[in-house]
Amino acid sequence: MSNRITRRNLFQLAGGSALGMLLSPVPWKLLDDSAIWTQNWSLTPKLPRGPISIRNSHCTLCPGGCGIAARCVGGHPYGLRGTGQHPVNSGFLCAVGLAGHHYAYHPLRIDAPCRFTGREEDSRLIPASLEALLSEMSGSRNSTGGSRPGGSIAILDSRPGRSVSQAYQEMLSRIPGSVYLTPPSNEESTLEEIRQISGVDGWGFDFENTHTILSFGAPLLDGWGTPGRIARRFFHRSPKELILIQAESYRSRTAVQASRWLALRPGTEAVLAMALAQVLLQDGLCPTDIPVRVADWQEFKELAFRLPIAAAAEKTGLPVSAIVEVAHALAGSSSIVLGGCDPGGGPLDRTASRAIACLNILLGNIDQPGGIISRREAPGVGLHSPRGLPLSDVADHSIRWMIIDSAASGYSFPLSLLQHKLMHDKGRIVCLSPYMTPIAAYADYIIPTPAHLESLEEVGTPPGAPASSWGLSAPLLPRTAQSVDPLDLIPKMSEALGFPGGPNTSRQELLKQRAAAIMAARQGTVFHPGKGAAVKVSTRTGTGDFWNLLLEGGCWVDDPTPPRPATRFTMLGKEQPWRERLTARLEQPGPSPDQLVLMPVGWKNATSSGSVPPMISKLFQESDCRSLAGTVLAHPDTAASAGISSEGKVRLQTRSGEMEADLKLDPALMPGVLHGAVGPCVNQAQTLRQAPAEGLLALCPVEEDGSWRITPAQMKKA
Amino acid sequence: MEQKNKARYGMVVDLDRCTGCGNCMMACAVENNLAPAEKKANDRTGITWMRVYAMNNGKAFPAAETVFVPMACQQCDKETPCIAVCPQNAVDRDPGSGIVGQVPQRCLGCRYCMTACPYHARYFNWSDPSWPAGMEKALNPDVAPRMRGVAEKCNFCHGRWHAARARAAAQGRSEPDPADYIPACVESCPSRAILFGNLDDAGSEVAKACQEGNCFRFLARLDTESKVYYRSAKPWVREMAEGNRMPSGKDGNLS
Repeated sequence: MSNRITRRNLFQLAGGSALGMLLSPVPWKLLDDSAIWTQNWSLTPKLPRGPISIRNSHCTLCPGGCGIAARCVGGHPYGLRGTGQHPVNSGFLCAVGLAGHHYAYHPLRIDAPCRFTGREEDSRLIPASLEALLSEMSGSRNSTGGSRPGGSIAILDSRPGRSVSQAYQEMLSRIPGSVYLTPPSNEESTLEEIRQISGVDGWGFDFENTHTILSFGAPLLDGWGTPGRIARRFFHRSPKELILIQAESYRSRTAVQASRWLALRPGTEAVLAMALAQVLLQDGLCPTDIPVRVADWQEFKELAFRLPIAAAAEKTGLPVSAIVEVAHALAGSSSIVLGGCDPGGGPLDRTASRAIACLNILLGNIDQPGGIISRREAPGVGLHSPRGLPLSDVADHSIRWMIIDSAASGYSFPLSLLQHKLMHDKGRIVCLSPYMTPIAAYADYIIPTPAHLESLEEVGTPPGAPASSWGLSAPLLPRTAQSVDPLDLIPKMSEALGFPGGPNTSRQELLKQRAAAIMAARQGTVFHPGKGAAVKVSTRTGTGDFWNLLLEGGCWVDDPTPPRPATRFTMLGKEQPWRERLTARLEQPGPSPDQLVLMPVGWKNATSSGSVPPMISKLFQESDCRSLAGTVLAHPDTAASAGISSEGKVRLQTRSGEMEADLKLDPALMPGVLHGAVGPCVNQAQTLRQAPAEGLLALCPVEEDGSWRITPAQMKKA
Repeated sequence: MEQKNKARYGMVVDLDRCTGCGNCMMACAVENNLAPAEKKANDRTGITWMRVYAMNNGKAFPAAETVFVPMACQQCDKETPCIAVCPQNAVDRDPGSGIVGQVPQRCLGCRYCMTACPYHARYFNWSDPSWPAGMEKALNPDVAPRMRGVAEKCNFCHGRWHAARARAAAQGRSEPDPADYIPACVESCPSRAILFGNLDDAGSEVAKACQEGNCFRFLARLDTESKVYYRSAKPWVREMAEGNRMPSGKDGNLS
């Protein structure tokens, strides 16, 4: 017998071993152990440990001014809820605010100054420095050979009315040709028109005491103003006490809850408002003192009767009876009429806003309980007006340096609005932002600022509030090393531009001065979060005591402002050609039934221009709650008219360009209207180099009046 | 034999009040350490213990109407399907609260429970949960993250239930104060659309609400005695529920 080992022997050994192994428990034990190991490996994070505490502060993600109670472990917040009994938000937050403590860990967080090499698609993100920015600013001054930079300096303040806003305005007041800008969208457009009509500043909505609200597309129950305030009014009392009439083209979240929904054709808000005015005048429903208080009563009356009710009904798509019933409902009790402002679709056109404001005056809502009431400014404001020039009102191609303070406003606007204002070639944008957003990605320089809850901020009066309020957002998280406080940047930029000077106080000192001014006025009450109750400011022992209470999440609220003596109004104005504008709008032919219109629709705090906490991806990707960016919704008949029978990729075309979108069919939408979702790019961009895109707003040109709500469009299968 | 509970926690969701704001989903995800959606996650693969569906009356503009339906584990009290099928005893019903809970350490990932659940309210960890860098510092220290390969679902914020019981014990009480035990979704709802409490406490708001005429349960014909009730004054909503239609958003007519 040979001892030679053949290849056959080797195969036999291997085969036998494999068979034997299979019959033994070894492989199964290995399989089981590896399964257990993979379930417990280090990829499953370890939970934070430390003492548990609750810290009160304020949310600064929008101007809503909500009080927040942060549950902290080892000093780090791990859960947010609304501060109970808070006078502004009544203990409720919005979905974005609930995950506000996650912003600091955003994947698109900017941690050092940087810039793109150009505005082309293949541009690269490279590190930059503050010195390089200041040097280029200085160079722009020198190149023109004089003290003035070549073109305007503009600061776009996304949230006006703060102490830092005043610092911006002071800086600009020393630079000739400079301009302080505010974004075009805001929730106070109706109040702004009333300010212009009355010549008196300081108005708020008395939702708490009103009986009937007519809303022209305002997303009242979907984030408008302070969501907790609206919810308290709408849901925490008997619904019979409040009648909400929602006029807009689709059954939005607000329309679903409204007592009545008026399916209004897009762009006919001014026509409906003037038709309601006509009914009020015809049926003698206006208070008797109004004709005396309106300087141009006859002119307005003639304008209101210009379009017969039947013609208005045809244009708006509403029955005559509905218009008459709504007018009578508004006149029968305390009421408020307010114009909408979609977070993605922007403000109503200004003609509609003016007509809506006039409707409030005809109804006698001004300075009446349950109507539009006087609201005095918080002490400490007044050096400069919180209002700036709307971005849309600046001359095209006039701005050399555009500095954007990206404090979250909750609203979006098309980037084309910025593009048109910059000087050709020489125009530069500096974006102060903690995150990479489409606006930041468009900027020449991106300077990181502290993220939400990382710095001491102030919270001013929320939009539409009946009384002024002020609070502090004390930092709950440490700042990153390279983040820059805009207040520290102002004097440096000012010097680089050749106008040295600027605020030499710290942010804390600036806010302390404001607190001292409020304390000195000794008016209003201050909410104590620990006690869940408010006390008179006059009972506080001193400014230090008041300041400490504010740092602990306290909130100052002004006393109700007494009504002003009979205010006089000029409805059609003198400077603005409102008569011509309204006439043109009334006589404008209705849209052709064959013409598709694109309406951008967004959700406050989650539009394409801002950033959202990573957890918001759950709402956009894993539920029916919200539509992802790039989705367009249409009635099946609308799609059929474009030769499309099923959902899928489509190409949208407007006069601004062409884009691919995901079509979803929704029979609940008005035929002929395309709803373009202006959402955030959740999970689209994972690194800073993949700059998030602007989305469907790029297809919406900005009209002369600063609106971009309605754009004629074409759709075809991709 | 069915085990008798000391308490029977349940919910009544008022669909006429729900605005679909998503607060409940968000508060739930933050409270229970759910990870943000992965890049390709969708309504089938994502994990949302509380999920809001849009349900419509099937009509076209302008007669179309919509309600938003927050849908979590329905906490079936009788012949609980997921308990019945679990080979690992990884699903149990707490005798003290009636809450149907999941023990991830026991779960072997067979997903029988997901198949058995008539409400599609169970979710599977197809991969390890991942958070953006640093965000683990913001996790809730009271709730352990689940690992890859296990199923999970709503447990009425069991961490809060334990905390409320500990507080009651520290104060010498045997039962938690109802004000101490409120799930995150209930707490965050601005329209107060969700009522929560002990269904066996005849004096509680939730026990009274679930007896009202416009209250109903989804898939009531299965007779699982779910402890999540819904209510709506809109006849078409109740008709849909009575017709065993689930608001799955995937044409999920289960009848």
